[in-house]
Amino acid sequence: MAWVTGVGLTPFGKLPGLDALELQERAANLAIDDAGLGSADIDVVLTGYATTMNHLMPANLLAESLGVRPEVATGMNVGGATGLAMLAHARTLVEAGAARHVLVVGGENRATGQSRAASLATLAQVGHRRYEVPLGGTIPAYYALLASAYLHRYGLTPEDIAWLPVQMRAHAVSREGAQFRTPITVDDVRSARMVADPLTLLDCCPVSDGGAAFVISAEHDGPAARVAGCGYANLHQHVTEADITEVGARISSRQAFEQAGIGPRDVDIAGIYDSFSVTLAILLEEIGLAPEGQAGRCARDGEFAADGRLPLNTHGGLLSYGHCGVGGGMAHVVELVRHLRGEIAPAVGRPAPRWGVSHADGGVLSAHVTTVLEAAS
Amino acid sequence: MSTREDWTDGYEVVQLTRCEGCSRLFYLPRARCPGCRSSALKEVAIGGGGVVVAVTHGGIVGGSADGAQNRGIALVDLDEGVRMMANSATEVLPGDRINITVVASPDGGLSPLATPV
Repeated sequence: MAWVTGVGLTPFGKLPGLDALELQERAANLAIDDAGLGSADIDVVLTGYATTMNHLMPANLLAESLGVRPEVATGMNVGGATGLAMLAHARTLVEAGAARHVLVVGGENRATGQSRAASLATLAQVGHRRYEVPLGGTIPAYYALLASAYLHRYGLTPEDIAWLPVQMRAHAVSREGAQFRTPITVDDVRSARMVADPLTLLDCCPVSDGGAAFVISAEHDGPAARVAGCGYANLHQHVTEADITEVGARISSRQAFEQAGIGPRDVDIAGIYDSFSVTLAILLEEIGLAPEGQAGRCARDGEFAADGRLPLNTHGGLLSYGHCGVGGGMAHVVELVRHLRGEIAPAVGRPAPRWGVSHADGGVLSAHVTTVLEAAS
Repeated sequence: MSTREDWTDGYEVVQLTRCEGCSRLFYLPRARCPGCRSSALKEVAIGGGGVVVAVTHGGIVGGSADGAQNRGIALVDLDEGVRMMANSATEVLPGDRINITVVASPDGGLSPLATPV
């Protein structure tokens, strides 16, 4: 079995003066301390890429800085799914007996370490170099295409999915460390600056500085969450090649649920990748956490509130806690683990959650990883 | 990656690749057929007709100085049964029938443009 024995999360937002390595170090130190380990206990270090730090061997760089001399130091690159892919890989190593404690880290000064234009231009490269990027696309434009098709398919309006960013913001209001904590309304979302029709600025996650880390271990003494299931799907890279009615989240989540021996209805709390309002809508529906075409309606009806049917992204998600690249999708897992360990009290009258599910995608709904976590009994 | 004489290389045409092994048609060029792995591939020009699947305006790199801000982007299902990305005239909507032509783009190159039929 594999356990999440330590988690670390920095505040997200504009954190000038900290570079990518320093943000990774901060998150890693929090997670190692949380797991109650010393440097010598870590036998594998996995890191994601940082667009602001073009280093050949980031895992070695971080390990040296932490005073860790791991047997294996390596990295992964699957866009926004990188953090969950590293978690899933860490579980595989631990369950195979190849590692006892795997340190997984993501962190980047994406907001202050480069210009906004440079950041958008880097991200736009998930588009096809010859057949998409020259048409002038950005990441928001590629997701706007998914939103256009989604709204058309279900006969919805942009207002219908604007309830999702409104709910994410409602969660972030009381959360220290979140980038945006002022409540917003559906009117605010729709009257915000249009970024790529139908997506406004408030349908899009911010670009943030920040870091997140986990320790995945073969055993646990203290509080922990069991990694009960992991699933992957990689059906396309470019949006031109995507089957927009089956992007991969259904496949990866089925695999993860099957391993855990549960179904979507058993999930008590969820952390689902929300780079854009439409990302969250499509993923929730493919995973089976909302009926087709109704994720926005569920948000409107309070189903994703702390006291709702399925508390979702209770730290505020990428949309309001913030998005620092690899660490962004990892924050959802940190939040789930804190709930499953009982460190964050459930809403009044609710039992402590047992099952948590996290899902992340990379690219343009291209790479998918789902993980199911269970509270340690 | 195969080299095509198409709009990405200064030719006023959009091409698909047909696999002579399994007859599959595809848009993004590959060295081999992604279905059957045959390397017997042939370029064919599109007819031009299709239906809009998705469309967006804005979100364009480079801002408004060259007028790029006014270009939309669409995903189009061509009548040949293959999906492609194109710039779009502002008035198109998902479900609309369009015609693809190759036009001069603001950056000095060429780009496929979807306009209502």
